[in-house]
Amino acid sequence: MAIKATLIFNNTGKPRIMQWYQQMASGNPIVSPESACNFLEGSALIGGNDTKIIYRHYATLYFVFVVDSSESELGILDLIQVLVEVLDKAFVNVCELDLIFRPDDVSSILSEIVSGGMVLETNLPNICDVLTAKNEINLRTR
Amino acid sequence: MFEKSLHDLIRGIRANASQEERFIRTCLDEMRAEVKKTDLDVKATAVAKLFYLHMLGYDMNWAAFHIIEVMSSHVLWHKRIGYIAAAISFRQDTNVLMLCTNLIKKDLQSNNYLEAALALNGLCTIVTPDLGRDLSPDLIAMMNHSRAYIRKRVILCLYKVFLKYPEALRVAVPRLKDRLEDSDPSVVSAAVNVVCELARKNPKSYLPLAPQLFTILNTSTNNWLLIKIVKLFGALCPLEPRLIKKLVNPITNLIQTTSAMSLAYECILTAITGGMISAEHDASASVDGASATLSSTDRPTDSILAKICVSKLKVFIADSDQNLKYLGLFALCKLLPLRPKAVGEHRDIILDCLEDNDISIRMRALELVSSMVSKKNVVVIVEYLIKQLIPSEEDEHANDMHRFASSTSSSLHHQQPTSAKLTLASDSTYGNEVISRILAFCSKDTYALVADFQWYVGALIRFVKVRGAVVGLEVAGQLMDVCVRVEGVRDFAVNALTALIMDESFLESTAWEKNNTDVLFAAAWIVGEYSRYVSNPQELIQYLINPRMTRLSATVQSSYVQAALKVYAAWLSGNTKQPQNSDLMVLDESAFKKPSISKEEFVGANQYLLQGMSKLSGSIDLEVQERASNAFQILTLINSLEAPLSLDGWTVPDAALDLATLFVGELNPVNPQAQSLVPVPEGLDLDAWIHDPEPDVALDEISEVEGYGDDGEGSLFGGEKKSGKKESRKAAADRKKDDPFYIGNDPTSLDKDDEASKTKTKKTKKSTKPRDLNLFDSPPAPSTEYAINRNDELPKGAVVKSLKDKLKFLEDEDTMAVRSVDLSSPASAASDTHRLGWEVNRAALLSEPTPQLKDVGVEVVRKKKGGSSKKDAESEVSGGKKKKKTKKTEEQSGRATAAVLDSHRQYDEPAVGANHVDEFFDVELNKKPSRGASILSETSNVALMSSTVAAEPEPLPPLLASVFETMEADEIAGLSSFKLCLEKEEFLLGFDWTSLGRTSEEEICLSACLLVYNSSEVASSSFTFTIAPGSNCRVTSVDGSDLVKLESGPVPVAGFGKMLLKVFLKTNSALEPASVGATCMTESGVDTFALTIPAMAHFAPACTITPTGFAECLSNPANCPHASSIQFPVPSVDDFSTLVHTLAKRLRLTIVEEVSMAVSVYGRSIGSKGGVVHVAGLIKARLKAAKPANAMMKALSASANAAGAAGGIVSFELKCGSAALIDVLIEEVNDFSSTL
Repeated sequence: MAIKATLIFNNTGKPRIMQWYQQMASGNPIVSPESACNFLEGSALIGGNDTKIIYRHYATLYFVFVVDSSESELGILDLIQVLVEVLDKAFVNVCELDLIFRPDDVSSILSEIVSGGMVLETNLPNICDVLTAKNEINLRTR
Repeated sequence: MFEKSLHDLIRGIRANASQEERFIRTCLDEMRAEVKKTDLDVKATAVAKLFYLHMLGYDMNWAAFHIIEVMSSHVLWHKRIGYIAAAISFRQDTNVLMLCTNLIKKDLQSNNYLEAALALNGLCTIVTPDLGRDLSPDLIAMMNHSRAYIRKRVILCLYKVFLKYPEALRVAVPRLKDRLEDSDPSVVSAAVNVVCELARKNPKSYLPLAPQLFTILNTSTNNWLLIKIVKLFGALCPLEPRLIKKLVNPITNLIQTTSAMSLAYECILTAITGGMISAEHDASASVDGASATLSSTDRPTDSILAKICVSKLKVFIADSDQNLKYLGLFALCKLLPLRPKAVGEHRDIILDCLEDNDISIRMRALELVSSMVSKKNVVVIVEYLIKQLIPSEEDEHANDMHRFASSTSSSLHHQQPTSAKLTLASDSTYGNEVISRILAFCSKDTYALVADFQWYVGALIRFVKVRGAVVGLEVAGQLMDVCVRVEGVRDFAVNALTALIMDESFLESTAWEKNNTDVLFAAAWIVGEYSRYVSNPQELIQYLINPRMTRLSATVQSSYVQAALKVYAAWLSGNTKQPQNSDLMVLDESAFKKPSISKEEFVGANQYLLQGMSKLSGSIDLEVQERASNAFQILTLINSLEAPLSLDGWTVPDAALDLATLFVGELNPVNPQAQSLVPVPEGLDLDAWIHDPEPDVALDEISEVEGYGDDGEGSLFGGEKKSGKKESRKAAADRKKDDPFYIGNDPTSLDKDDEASKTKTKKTKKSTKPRDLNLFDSPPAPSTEYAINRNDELPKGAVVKSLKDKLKFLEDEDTMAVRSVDLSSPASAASDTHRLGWEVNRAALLSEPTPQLKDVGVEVVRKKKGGSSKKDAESEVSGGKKKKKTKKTEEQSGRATAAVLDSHRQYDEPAVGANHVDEFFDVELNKKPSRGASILSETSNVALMSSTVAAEPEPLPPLLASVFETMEADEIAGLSSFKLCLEKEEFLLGFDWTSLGRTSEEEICLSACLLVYNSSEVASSSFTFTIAPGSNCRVTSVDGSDLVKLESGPVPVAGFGKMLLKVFLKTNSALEPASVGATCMTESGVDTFALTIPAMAHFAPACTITPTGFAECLSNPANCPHASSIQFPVPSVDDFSTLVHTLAKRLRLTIVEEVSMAVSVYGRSIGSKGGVVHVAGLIKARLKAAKPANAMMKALSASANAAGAAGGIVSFELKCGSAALIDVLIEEVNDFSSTL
C-alpha cells in the first residue's frame, strides 16, 4: 500500500483530520514530530519497517503522511504542498479553524488528491475544477 | 428541527472543554435517537457528527446499518457523508457489508459521474473479497468510461480490488496496459501507479509492460509520473539484465538534466539499487556464479554513472535543506558496498553530519560511517565517536565558561550553545545507538577489525562512563567475550576493571535512573576468573564485599560474591601478581615460594569476608543468598583450621590453599547453539516426568515443604556441593600444570611471567596516549599481536546451521494475494470452475510420480528370479500383469500431464504480448551484443534447434543448413550443445562434436564443429586456427587429410562463422577424456586455448536398446558395478521432458523409456580391447518438499530458493562400468544444472 494514512495535527498534537487508507486495528497513534528533517522512520507503532512518516509544518498545523517505500519522500513533500494549496483555494486563506469546523469538506477535498492510498491527481487546476463542479451540484441539491 | 448540526457539535465541544467527555456522551445519546429518525437529513447529519467523533476516538461501529441507509439516499451530500463514514468505520467483518453490493453497483452505473466517483472512493477502502468478485466486471468495464476522471478513479480502485480478489487481475491487466497509452495524463499516471504497486509485489508478471513504460519514460515530462516509472523499473531490473543496459542512458540523462531534486534522487537510488552500477572489480563478485560474472564485467557506462551519482549526492549532503541531506546519506549508504572508494572520498562531509542537530541525520550518518569502518580507520572513527559522547575536560570547561558568560551578559542569551557536543552528550538515544553500532562493527567476524585489544578494552570501559546511555549489559558481554578469547589482553583488562570496581564515582552513578553499573557483573567475573593478574587482592576484596555494593543489581552482587571468593583463594595461594618493586624479588628466591601472609592478615581477611557474607546471606535475592551462604560455609571451615607448626613460623594452612583448586581450569568460548546441539542420549526421554505429578493435593503445601528441605541441604552441604561441581572442571584440567603449588615452586616460570607482564604494562602506557585524529589512514601500530581464540566449543560432531537456513521468507498478505495469480497461466472470466480444474490437474501431478518406476524395478527383479528359478510360468504371468498395470498407470499419468500441458497451451498467448516484449529486448541485443551469459544462451538455443532438427529432418533452419551442409543428417543428430572454449572481447568461440563410430580397432572418429560468434563492432575478416595433435587424439580436416590451418570466411557483426573438422580419438579402457592445444589468430592477436573432448566421446553414436534389454543389462551386476547419484533443483518441473532430452543429448545417452516425471537412459561405449562399458541412468523429478530431507538437499534448496520458491528437484542416479566415466558424467550433469 502506497500511502497508508494522511493526518493533520495542530502544534499541540490535537488531531484535526485523520484519514486512514488501511483498515487499522485500533486508532489514534501519537506522533510528535520535533526534529528538523521532515522524515521519520517507521516503528512498531505505525506499520513496521517499511513505513516512513513524512510531514510538513504550516503555521499551527502539521500535515503528516504515513507512506511505504514505494513513495518518493520528496514527492510526498510536494504533494503536501499541493494539498495545502488546494485547501487554501477552497477555504480562501485556510486556517486551523476551517479544518476544525469543516472536517467533512476537508475529507472530500483530500479524496480528490489521494484515493484509497494512491495518488489520484497532482495537478492543481484539475483538482480545483472537480471541486468547483462538486460545489455547484451540492448547492443545487441542497 | 432542533437537532445539532455538525457545526453546533464542534462549537459545543469547544465551549465545554472542561467537561468534554460528558458533553459528548449526551450528544452521542442524541445521535442514537437521530439516526433512527426517518428524515434522511437528520440521519445524515447524525452520521456526519459520528464521523467527527470517530476522529476523536469514539466508536461508531454500531451505526453501520444507518450509514448504509444514508449511502442509499438520492441526495448527493447524503451519499457523500455515507461513503466517507463507511470508509472510516467499516471493517472486513462488518456484517452489513453484504447489503452494499447492489447499492454500490447502482451508484457505479449512475448517470451522475460524481456519484460514481463517491462509490469508487468508498469502495477503495471497504472492498472485501466478496465485493471484489461481484463488482470487478463492472469496474473493469468502467476502465473505458468516457470521462477521464472516472477512468483514473476506477484504475486506482481496482488495485484495492486486486488485493482482495486477485482473480480480477487476469481480465484487468490487459485493459490496464491499454490505459498506459491513455490520452489523459492523469489516467496514465494512475495506471503507472497501479502497475508500480503490482510490480513491487510480483515483478515477473509485469516485465512485458517494459516497452510501453520505457516510451513513457522517454517522452513524459510529468515529474510525478517519471518518479513512479523510475521506481517501477527499479523493481523490474533484477529480473532482466538487458533492461539495465537500456535504462542506463535515459537515467543518466534525467539525473543530469532534471531540475527536480525529487526526480534526480529517485533516479540515483534506482541506479544504485537496480544494479546499474555494478560492484567494483576488486570485490569478490565472481563467487555468485553466472549473474555475478555478468555484473562484474566492466561496463564503461558504469563508472560514469557512478561518478555522476556520487557528485550529485555530495551536493545533496552539502545542501542546507535537511531533507536532501538525509536522503543523500541514505543513498550513499546503499552505494557504499558497490563503490567504497568513491564514497570514502567524501568522508569529511559525512563526519560533519555526525554533528548535526537533527537526530535522523545523525543516525543516517552513523549508519554510513559504521559501514565505512575498516581495519585501518577503526581506531580513529571510534575515538571520534567517543569524543562526541564524552566531552573532554577542556570542552566542559569551555561550556562552563559559556554558561557563566551567558548568565552575566544578556546579549549572549540568544546564541546557540557553541557546539553540538553538549546536546549530544545528554541525548541518550543517540548515545545508545552509537555505542551499539561500535560494538556491532568491532565484534563482527570475531573482532576482525580490532588489532589492538588493550585499546578496545579501554574503549569499552569508556563507553560505560557515558552519561545517559544504557549499554551496561552489552558492554559486559563484549568484555567477557574478549577476555575469554584473547589471552594477551587479560592482564590489562583485569587491572583496568579493578580500577573500575574501585571507582567510587562510577558506583555513585547507581543514583541515576539510566546507568551502566550492570557492566560490573563482567568486571567482577573477569577479575575473579583471571585473579592471577590481580596486583592488590586485599584491597580489591574490600571493594567487592562492601556495604555499598548492595546498591548494585542482584546479578552483579552474586557475581561479586563469587569473584571475592576467587580472588581470596588466589591471594591465599600466592597466585596473584606480585607487587612491582621487583629488584629485590628477583634475587630473593624465597619470595616466590609462597607469599608471606601473616597470621593477622589471614585472620583479618577471613573475618572481613565472613562478616560480609553473613550479611549478604540475608539478601532478598535467592542467587545472592545462596552464593553468600556457600561462601560463608567455606570461610567458616577455613577459619576453623589449625595452622600447622613450621620452622618459619606461621604459614597459611594447607587445607585453606586447597580453596584455589576449586577454581582451576580454563573456560573456553562456547557456541551459542552448543546446548541445543547436544545429542539426546539414547534411552533418555526429555518429556517424561522425573517424578510423577502428585494428583490433586494442595500444591502450595508441597512446594513449601520442598522449599524447606532445599534450604537445609544448602546450608549443610553447600560447600561440598560446590566442590563437587568444580571437581569435573578440575578433572578436565591437567592437574600438575595448574596446581598452584607447582607454579609457586617453579621460580623460572614465574620469572618469565613477571617479565612479560612488565613489558606489557610499559606498552599499555604507550598505547593509551591520545592519538592524532587527522591520521585517518595511518593506523596506530598495535602494540602487541593478539591471538584471538575464534573456535567456539561445540558438542562432538555437531554442525552449526547457518542463519540463512533458519530465516524464512516472510511476505505480507497483499503480496501473497497479488502473487497468487500467475498472469502467464490460465485466465478466464469463469475463473472459479477453471481454477478448480486446474487444481485437479495439479493434484494428478503431485500424486507420487515414482510408483511406475518402482514397478519397473520390481519387474526387473522378478524377471531375474524367473530366469533362475524353475517356476517360470507363474512368475511370468505375474510379471506380465505387473507390466500391464505399469502401462495403465503410465497412461493415466500421461493423460494428466497432457491435460496440464494443454491448459498451459490454451493460455499460452498471455494477456500481455510476450513476443513484442522479446523484440524490445532483442533489438537491443543485436545492436549492442551483450557478452557472456546471453550469448551463451543464444548459442545453446542454436544447439537446441539442431537437436530438434535431428528429430524432425525438415525443414532445416537456414543458419544450420549452411553449417552442416557437408554432413549427413544423422551425423548432426548427436550434435547437441556447444561449449564455450574461448571468450574474448571481440568474439566467442564454441566447440561441439558428435561421435561417428569406430574406424579401426583403436580409433574412434568424431565429427566436430568450431563455432565463432562475432561480438565486436566491425565485421571480422577471418579467423585462422592451428590445432596441434594431442597425445591420444589427432585432428584432421573434414576429408580426412592432415589439418594445418583452418580458416573461416568473414564473420559479420553479431553473426556466426563455422569450421568443420574431424577428430580421431584413441580408444582406451579407462575411457579417458582427451585434449588438444589450439591457437586462434585474428587481427587483434593470437590466443591459445584447449579443445577438450570429454569421455562421452567414446559412446556409440546411436545405440538403441529396448526396455527389456535395458533391464537385462542392469540385472547383471558385473555390467555396472559403480553407482553414483546427483540431485539438482529446477525452477519448474513442468518442462521436465524437454529438460531430460537436452540433458541426454548432452551426455550422449539414449532415452530408453519415458513415463511421467521419470526417464531411464542408457549409453554404451563403442568398445575396444577393454570391452564394452555400459551406462544406465534413471532421472526422476519431484515437486520440492517443504522440508529438505538431508544436508545436501538443504544446500541445494538454498540455491533453489533464489530461483523461485515453487520449483522441483531432479535426481539422477547413474550406474556405470567405469569409475572414471561416472565422475565425468556427474560433473557434466553438474555443469548442466548450473545453466538452468
